[in-house]
Amino acid sequence: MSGMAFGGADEGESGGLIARASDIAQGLNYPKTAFFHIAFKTAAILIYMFGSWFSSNFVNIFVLCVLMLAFDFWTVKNVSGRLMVGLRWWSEVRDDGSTDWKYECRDGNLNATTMDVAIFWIGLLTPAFIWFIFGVGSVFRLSFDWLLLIAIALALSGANIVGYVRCKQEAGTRLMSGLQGVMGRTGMGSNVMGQALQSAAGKAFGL
Amino acid sequence: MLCVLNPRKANMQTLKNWDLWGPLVLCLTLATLLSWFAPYEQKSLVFASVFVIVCCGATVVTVNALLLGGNISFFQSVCVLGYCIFPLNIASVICLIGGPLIWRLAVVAVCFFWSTSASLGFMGELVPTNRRALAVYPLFLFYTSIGWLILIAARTSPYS
Repeated sequence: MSGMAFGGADEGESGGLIARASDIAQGLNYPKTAFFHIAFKTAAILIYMFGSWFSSNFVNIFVLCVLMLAFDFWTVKNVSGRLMVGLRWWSEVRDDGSTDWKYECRDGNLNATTMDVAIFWIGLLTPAFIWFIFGVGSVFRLSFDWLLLIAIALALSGANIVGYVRCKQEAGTRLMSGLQGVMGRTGMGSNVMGQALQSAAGKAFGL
Repeated sequence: MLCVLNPRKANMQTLKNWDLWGPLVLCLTLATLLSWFAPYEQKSLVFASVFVIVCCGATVVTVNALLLGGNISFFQSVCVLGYCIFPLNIASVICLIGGPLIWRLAVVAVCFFWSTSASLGFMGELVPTNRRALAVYPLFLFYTSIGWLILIAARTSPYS
C-alpha cells in the first residue's frame, strides 16, 4: 500500500491521485457504501448546478434531482448509517395512531474505521449546507420553481440529519446512565458527582 | 397499492406499513404527464403547480383529519392519499390520448369516484362519526381539483 503511494508520487499527477484515492479506500472498511453515500448526493447537486447546460427542460432536471435525492435518502437511512456508524432510526405506528420514533445504536464492536465515521458525518452535513446556500440564492433570484426542489432536498437531508443526531444523543444518554450506574455501584463518585454528570448530560443532549 | 385497486379488501393492517415512495412516484408521474401536454411557456409552471397541489393538498387534508380527532398518524394518511391518486393518474393518461369532452369527463368522473371511495374507506373509519362529513369534504375538494386539472390539461392537447 505504501509502496503504491510512493510510486504514485513518482508517476505524476494522475498516478498520484489514484494512489491517494486507493489510500483513502484502504482506510475504509466499507468503500462501496461510502462511495454510494457520497455519490447520490453529489449527483443531485451536480444535476442541479449543471443540468441546464444539457437540457432546457425544467421538468426533466427536477425529476432527476428528486430521484437522486430519494435514492440518497434511502441509502443513507438504510445502508450507510447501519454499516458506517452503527446507528439506525425508524418509526412505528402505535394502535392509537401516534407515531413512535425509535433510535438504536449498535452496542457491539463497530466494524468501521474512523475514516468511515468521518465520511459519514461530513457527507451528511455538507450537502445540507450547500442546499441551504442554493436556497438563499434562489430566494434572492426569486425563482420559486427551484425553491421547490431545494425545499425537497433540505427536507430529505434534514430528516436524515435529525434522525442520526437524535440517535447519537440517545446513545450518549444511554452511555451516561450506564456510566452512572457503574459509578454508583463501585462507589467511585459521590452522589453529587452523579447529579452533576446527569445535569451536564441533560443540558448537552436535552431537547 | 393493492388496497387502492381493491377497495373492498382494504383493512387497517396494511395501513401499518406506510411508505412514501409510492405517493412520490405517483405524484411525479402525474405532474410530468400533465406538464408534457402543456403549452411550452407553461410547462414548468404546470409541473410545479401540480406537484405542490398534490403535496400540500394531501398535507392539509391530513392535518384536517388529525385535528378533527382522527387516530391515524400523519404519514399513514399522506400515504393513503398519495396512493389513491393512482386512479387519477390512469385518468390523465387516458385523457391525454384524446377524445371528445364528454368521454374525458366520464373517465375523470369514474376515476374520481374510484379514488374517493378508496380513500374514504380508510379516512372514514378513523374519524368520529359525527365529524365524518367534515373530514370527508376536504377530501372531495382535493380530488375534485386534481380531476379538474386533468380535464383542463387535456383540453389543450394537440389530439383533441
